[in-house]
Amino acid sequence: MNTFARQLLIFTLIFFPPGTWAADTPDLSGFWTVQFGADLSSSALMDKMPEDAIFVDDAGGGELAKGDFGGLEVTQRALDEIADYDFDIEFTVGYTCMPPTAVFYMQAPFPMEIHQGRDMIIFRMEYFDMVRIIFMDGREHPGDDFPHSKNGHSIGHWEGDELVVDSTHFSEGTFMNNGFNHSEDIHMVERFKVSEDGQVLSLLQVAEDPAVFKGKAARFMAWRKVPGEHIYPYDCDPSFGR
Amino acid sequence: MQLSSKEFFRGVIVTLSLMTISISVSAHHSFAVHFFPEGEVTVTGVVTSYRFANPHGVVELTALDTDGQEVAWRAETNSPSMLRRRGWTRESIKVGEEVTLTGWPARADDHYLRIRMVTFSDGSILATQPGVNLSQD
Repeated sequence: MNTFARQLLIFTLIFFPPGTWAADTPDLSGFWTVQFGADLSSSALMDKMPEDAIFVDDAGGGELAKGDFGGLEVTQRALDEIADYDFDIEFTVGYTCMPPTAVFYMQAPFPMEIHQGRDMIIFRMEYFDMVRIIFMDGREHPGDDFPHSKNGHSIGHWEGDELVVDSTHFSEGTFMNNGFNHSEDIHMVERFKVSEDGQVLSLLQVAEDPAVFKGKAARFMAWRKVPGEHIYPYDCDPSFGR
Repeated sequence: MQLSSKEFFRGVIVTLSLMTISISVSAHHSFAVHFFPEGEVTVTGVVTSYRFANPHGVVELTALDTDGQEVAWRAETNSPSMLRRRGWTRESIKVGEEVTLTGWPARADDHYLRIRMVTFSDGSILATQPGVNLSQD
C-alpha cells in the first residue's frame, strides 16, 4: 500500500471506526475470499440486472479469449484500439506492476477486506494493494475537472439490505484483459448483498461506456466470509518483467 | 540438500496433449491470450532459479530436448499471495533439485508455461489451483 493510501486508511479508521454505522444496515465488514463456481440463479441480485444489459460471464478469473467480447457490441474506437494493442508489453518491467481500475479488480479472483463506517466504507483489495473508498455521507460526484484514477470516485447508499455504489472518474484501464479496455468515461453501478446467514457476499456490477461498447454490461461476483483471515501485502515486484 | 545439475540432470520428458482442464486463472496479464487454456505441457529438469513474488512466481529449469541438447525453460505460477494459502512458500522449490512441471503451454514461446502442478523427486505434489493442497481457498 502506498503512503497516501495508508494514511487515508488510518484517518478513516480513527474518525469512522466500526460501530459508528447505522444499526439497521447490514454489516459487510470482514475478510471475503472469492467463491468460485457461485450459483448465479440463487442470487436475488440477478433479478436486479437491467433487462437491456448483456451478461458477461468472465468474472472471477474466467477470462475471455482474444476477440471474444462476451456478446457486447464494441465500437469502432474499441476495435481500433484492440487492433493496435501490443500483448508483448504485458511481459515488460514497465507493465508488470501497473494496477487495473476498480472496474476490473472488483471481479478479479483475489480476496478483500471491508471496513465499514457510517460515512465511509473501505475496500482493501489484496490485488495490487488497492484501497477503495465508498463515500456514504450523501455527497455527489465531483465535477469534470476532478482527477480520474484507478479507484475512481464512488458514492454509496443503502436500498433496503443492498449497498448500491455509483462510480465515475476512472482512468482508462483493462475491461476484459484481452486487449479490450474501458474509457475514462465509464460509469459503473454496483449492488452488494449479503446472504441471510451472513456468509456470502454477492455483487452485481453494471457498466456503461458508450465510447467503447453499446448498451450495458453486467457481471456477477460472489465471495465467502472467512473469520480470522486477512489479506496479504501484494508488494508487486516488477522484476518479473523482461 | 544442494545437488549439482549434472548429478541430477536426467533429461526431459516433454509431452503436449490436448486435454480439457478446469482452470482458474489470476494474472495481471491475460492468461487466455498468452497460454493454451486446453493444452498441457510437462517438463522435467533441474531448477536453476526460483522466485516467489507477485504478480507471478517464476521457476527456471534446465532440461534436455529430444536431441539431448540442454534447453532453458521458464515457468510462471499464479499469484504467490494466493499460493501461500495453498501451502507454497519461498522455500518450496530449491535450486539444484529435479522437478517435473505440468501446466499450460505458452502460445508464443515453446519453452514457457503456466504451472498447474509441481511434482518432486519423492513423488510429492504441489499444485497452484484451489482445493488440491490446503483447500483454504
